[in-house]
Amino acid sequence: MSPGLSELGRFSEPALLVLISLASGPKHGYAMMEDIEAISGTRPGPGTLYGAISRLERLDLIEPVPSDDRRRPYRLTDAGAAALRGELANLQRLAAIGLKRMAST
Amino acid sequence: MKKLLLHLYPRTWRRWYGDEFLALMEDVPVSPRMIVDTVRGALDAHLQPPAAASEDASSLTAELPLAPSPVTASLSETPSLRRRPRPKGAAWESALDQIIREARERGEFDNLEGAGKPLVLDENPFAGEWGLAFHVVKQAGETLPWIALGQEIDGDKQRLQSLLDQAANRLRSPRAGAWTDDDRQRFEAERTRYRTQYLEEAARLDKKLLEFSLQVPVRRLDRGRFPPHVAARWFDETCPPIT
Repeated sequence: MSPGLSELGRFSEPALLVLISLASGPKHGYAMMEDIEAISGTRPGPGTLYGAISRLERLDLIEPVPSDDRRRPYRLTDAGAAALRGELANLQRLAAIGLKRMAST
Repeated sequence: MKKLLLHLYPRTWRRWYGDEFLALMEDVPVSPRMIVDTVRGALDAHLQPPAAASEDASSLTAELPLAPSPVTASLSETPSLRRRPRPKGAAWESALDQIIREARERGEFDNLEGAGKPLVLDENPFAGEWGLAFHVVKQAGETLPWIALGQEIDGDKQRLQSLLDQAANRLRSPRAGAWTDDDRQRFEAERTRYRTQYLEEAARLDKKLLEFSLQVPVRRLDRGRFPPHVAARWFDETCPPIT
């Protein structure tokens, strides 16, 4: 099983959403908020968002992008991309099992 | 209000994320939900285990034998978020940056009124109720308090050094030969007088150094302390008592 987020410790949903958001390109905080609202239906608050950002940055899964802007964009690191791929594969597998079980009831 | 919320976060966190977080909060409309979320984030930041720190204590250069300040000593042991240098370089251009750049390329920023002349900042239309405060500060000259204190400390250090020099001159042992009891007494009295004065001024300097170490924004600029036992040692070595 490829190292997913679960092997790096419990990962919150906001962290997963941040990674997915950055998978379509670098973004700063506000852009992440809007994107996450678009894909998940809920908009994280600034505290929640930066809680996830700080954890992900400390684990080297995301990194800041050089910018003159006061708002700092972030992007996935290689390690981050690998971790995200792994976690999404796990989730997909779980979803498949669950749906299959639901279908046969 | 938003700055107040930011101050709930730990100081190291603020140094790392403060600017961008403030920028984000400016874009987000204030609502009870936003406030609660921000406060919860602050609590979470305080509870996060600090990453391993490897900050080497900056060496304090001192002209006098100043002991490292206990304030700065404890700061070098404080764990901090892992320090990775934030890369500078090619700017990532946001949509707004693009709009501004294109406007500039179209020449919309050329020939603005007052171009090439110094900015007239006496009247700040945005100051509002702070206008009077800015005006007073401007009139008083604009040195940061810690810089002014640093200059005071420089002056005091020089004065302390010349006091020591003066004492050393006065308290040279007299001509070779036996000392009368009278000589001894006079010497001791004078030495005690000088020593007391020196230690008093050293204590005042030390108090200012403490204040300075609490105000100085960068650890590297700290000037250490001048504790009484060090001051006493300096005096006693420069002007030893009669043995």
